[in-house]
Amino acid sequence: MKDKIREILLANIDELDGVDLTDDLELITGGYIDSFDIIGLISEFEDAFDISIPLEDLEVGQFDTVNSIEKVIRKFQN
Amino acid sequence: MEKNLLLEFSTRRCSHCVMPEVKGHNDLDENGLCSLCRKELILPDESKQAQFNDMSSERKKEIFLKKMQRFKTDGEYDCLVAVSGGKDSIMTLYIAHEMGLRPLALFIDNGFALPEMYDNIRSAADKLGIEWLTYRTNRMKALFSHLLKSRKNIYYCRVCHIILESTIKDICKKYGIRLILGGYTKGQSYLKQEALSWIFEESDRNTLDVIRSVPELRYLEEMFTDPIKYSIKNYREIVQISPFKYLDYDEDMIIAEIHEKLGFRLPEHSWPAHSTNCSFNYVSQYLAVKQFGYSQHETEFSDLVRSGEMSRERAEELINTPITDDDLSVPLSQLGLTKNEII
Repeated sequence: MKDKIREILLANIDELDGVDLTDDLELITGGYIDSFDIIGLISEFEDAFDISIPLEDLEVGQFDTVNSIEKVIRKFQN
Repeated sequence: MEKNLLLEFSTRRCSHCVMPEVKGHNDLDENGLCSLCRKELILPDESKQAQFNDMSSERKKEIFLKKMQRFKTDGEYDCLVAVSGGKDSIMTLYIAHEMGLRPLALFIDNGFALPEMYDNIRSAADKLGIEWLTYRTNRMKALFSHLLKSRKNIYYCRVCHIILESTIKDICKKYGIRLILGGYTKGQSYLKQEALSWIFEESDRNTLDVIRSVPELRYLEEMFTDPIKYSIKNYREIVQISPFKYLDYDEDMIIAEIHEKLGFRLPEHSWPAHSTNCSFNYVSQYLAVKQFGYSQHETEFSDLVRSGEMSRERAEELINTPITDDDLSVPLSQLGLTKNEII
């Protein structure tokens, strides 16, 4: 799952081109992505993992690392 | 000379940047450093993660150009430039033009715009041959009046930005535009600003209380319940980018360039000095410092000092721009209010 998350991030976030995208690289606090990127990414994750992320359960901070994104996706797969 | 009202709240400031000490939210350590500076300056190099700002200027510029190509639309306009009439947004308009984009410039007058804002936009748009729209709204005045009378802790620039963002994106949808260019600096990247999150949370909560108690404001309830979720729900396809995340920021260079090429001029009177904020910013900043201890201006300057884009002396000079009784009474009188009615 993490490889797919990485693939989506790299395909959609130009700032990550050439960056060593480790599991715990801080994407928001490191300045690579901002709230506007997250808005677009949510749709990508929903399509790729066939999930629906309800807006009422959304916390922007959950998208700060590959690890935390994986947790969000697993939560909504179950 | 009139009394500077901000002196009522004078406090210790970080020895490295300009952040004031606010107990429980921004404590200074024994060396006088604030939490923001401690986090960035004291961590040993090996424990620091890579950051976007570590990239070379050339690399960041390449990324910016790539993003423009990715998100520009094929309709009548490639993008919308949200223009306040200040130096950063006028420079953004200039950058869009220099990149060969076909921008639509949008100026929203929240009811407190300074004459120089109109002059700067008109001059820049005329010289660059760019089409522009002006949208003058009375929404803000009606809302601010109710919020002020409540005397709750509210950060008024936050309230204004939430409404402006929605209005700008509604206009994007109307014109089939997907890309917004905004002239906010690195320090104005709110999502990164943990130091502002508690202020926004308290301000949003209090704003919502007032909105729910006034029937004519109920249409704003969903927007203020969770601004990010509101944006995701209504404007998922719209992308917002600031060139200053990718291009080196030099305030003096920007002012000189747009003055020479576009006839830009700074307002004679605005807070902070050398900015082009609306006249209500005096009230917003005064109340923010009184109620919260600081605002987005302090965190912005703090970021710019740490990144080396502004000297501490310059930041301190700007933060100490006076606010007088007259500065408050002019915008308040537009709402039929006095200082004593809101404090």
